[in-house]
Amino acid sequence: MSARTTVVRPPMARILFAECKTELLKAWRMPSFAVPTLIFPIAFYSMFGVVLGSEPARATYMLATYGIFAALGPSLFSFGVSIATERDRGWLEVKRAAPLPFSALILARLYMSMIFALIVTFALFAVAYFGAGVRLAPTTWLSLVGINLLTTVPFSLLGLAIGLNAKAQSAAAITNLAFFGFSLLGGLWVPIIVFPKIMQMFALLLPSYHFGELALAAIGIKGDVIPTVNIGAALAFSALFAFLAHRAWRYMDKDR
Amino acid sequence: MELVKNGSAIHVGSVTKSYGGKQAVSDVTVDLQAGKVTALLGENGAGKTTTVSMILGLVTPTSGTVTVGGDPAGSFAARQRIGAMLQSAELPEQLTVAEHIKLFQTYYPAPMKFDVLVALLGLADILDKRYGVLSGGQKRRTQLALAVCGDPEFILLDEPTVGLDVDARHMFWRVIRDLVKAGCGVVLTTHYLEEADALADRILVMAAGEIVADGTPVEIKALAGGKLIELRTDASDAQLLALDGVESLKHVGDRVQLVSHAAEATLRTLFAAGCSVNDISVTRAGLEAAFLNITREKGEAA
Repeated sequence: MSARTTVVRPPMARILFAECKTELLKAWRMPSFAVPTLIFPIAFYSMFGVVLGSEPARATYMLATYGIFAALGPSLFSFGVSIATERDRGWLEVKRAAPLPFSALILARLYMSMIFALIVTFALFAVAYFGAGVRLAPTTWLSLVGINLLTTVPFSLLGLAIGLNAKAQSAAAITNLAFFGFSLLGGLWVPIIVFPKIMQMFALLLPSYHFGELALAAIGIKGDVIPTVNIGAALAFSALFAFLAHRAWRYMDKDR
Repeated sequence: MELVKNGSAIHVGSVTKSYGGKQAVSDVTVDLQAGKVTALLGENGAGKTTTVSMILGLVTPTSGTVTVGGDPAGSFAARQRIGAMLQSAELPEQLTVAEHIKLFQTYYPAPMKFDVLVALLGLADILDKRYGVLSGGQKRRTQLALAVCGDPEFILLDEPTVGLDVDARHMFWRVIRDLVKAGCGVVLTTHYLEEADALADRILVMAAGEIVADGTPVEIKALAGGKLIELRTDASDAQLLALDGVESLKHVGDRVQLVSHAAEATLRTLFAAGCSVNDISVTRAGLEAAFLNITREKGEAA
């Protein structure tokens, strides 16, 4: 039998840091990623929340929901489109063959999504504060940051499930559909009150709606249902997305 | 002097892989040593890439075991021992060559020195270019850099020189020889007997998912140098196999295919035997024809 060398694992933190930096560079240098994730939330919020009717109440309400919109973009695109593309190009195989913990790949993308969400959240705060005179208690600002960051987790898992299942072309279509569909129909752009009754019912079935409601609860706006329902739904969707992502990964591991 | 890192080896034991009932690799057993170049030679669909994928742990065998230096293929320890260059794997285009290499180096405990790697592969003038703007040859060099940057015990190269011009191909060959001198084991797949001959210490010929020949380049060339004679005849199989130079025989419809290492002599003895012969053609036996016939023949005789 051959003499076995002991396995020396390079520090995980170093790998994770390098992966994170790489993901940020890649995202930053790709307009098809940076524009919808950075520009859209800031531009839409400035337009609908501030310019067209600049009363602070409206701007405050929309600050909550546009924050969730800001969290959706990087999570869905970084995992959905980018993983599908790298899988199609055979790059994911190279990564899988490399001595790199799978968790580093996933965590690096998650952190990158969080950093993007954080940047946009702070930009939204600035627009709200200076543009519309929104004033909130420090803890309220903080809780919005927390909710936005948490929101990246389930949507990253959904993105991962899309990215591992779909070809690059269809993944882009599905991700865009999910991004805009969840945002519009889930009431992140305009409150679902303005929708017909049937669409209001439908919104209850969307994860984005429930995360939006949680953000609204954070700024003290009472929702259509009790917060427990929103929390339950948010947890249920997170579990579902985690299951789908896990299954997609197992399936890919088996046969390709 | 033995320059073999830890005497480690890749062991493939009775490995079969089937996709939906179709066997891509059937019952392959082979040991691959460090410090040597082993070429997996075969045509498309012969099972080369599937074999490489199982060694890398990307594909799980339907049955059988694969170990790398004693550890199961795909385990962290096994992956740390192998660097791979996969067929048609494209790197993210937004990153520069240097960024790609530096990222990959963080995966390994004792990577090759950056400057050494750059000199080895002649990357100095493309380090700051983004992968997306590189030429085909430069892209392949960058991919090779990722395979070797961790200074692994084994390097697996799946069709490394497809689409490269002659100069780039020779550069690849030179790098591979340098790596082997440093004690690395190289396993490469190729269509080209010429490439296997130029590089390999050992050639494994794969056809239809099996290893049909295993030998030195000299031995394999002798086997593959044959001609394929196709004809219709009333001669018996025994008569045909007794002809000069005939190595194997196979029936295809109402025609017979003979693989011969001396086609002229075969034909001379064939006509001298006075059998009826028509519709005759003589072509170079491709690898597949040459080696498949040999195994069929052996299999049937056994």
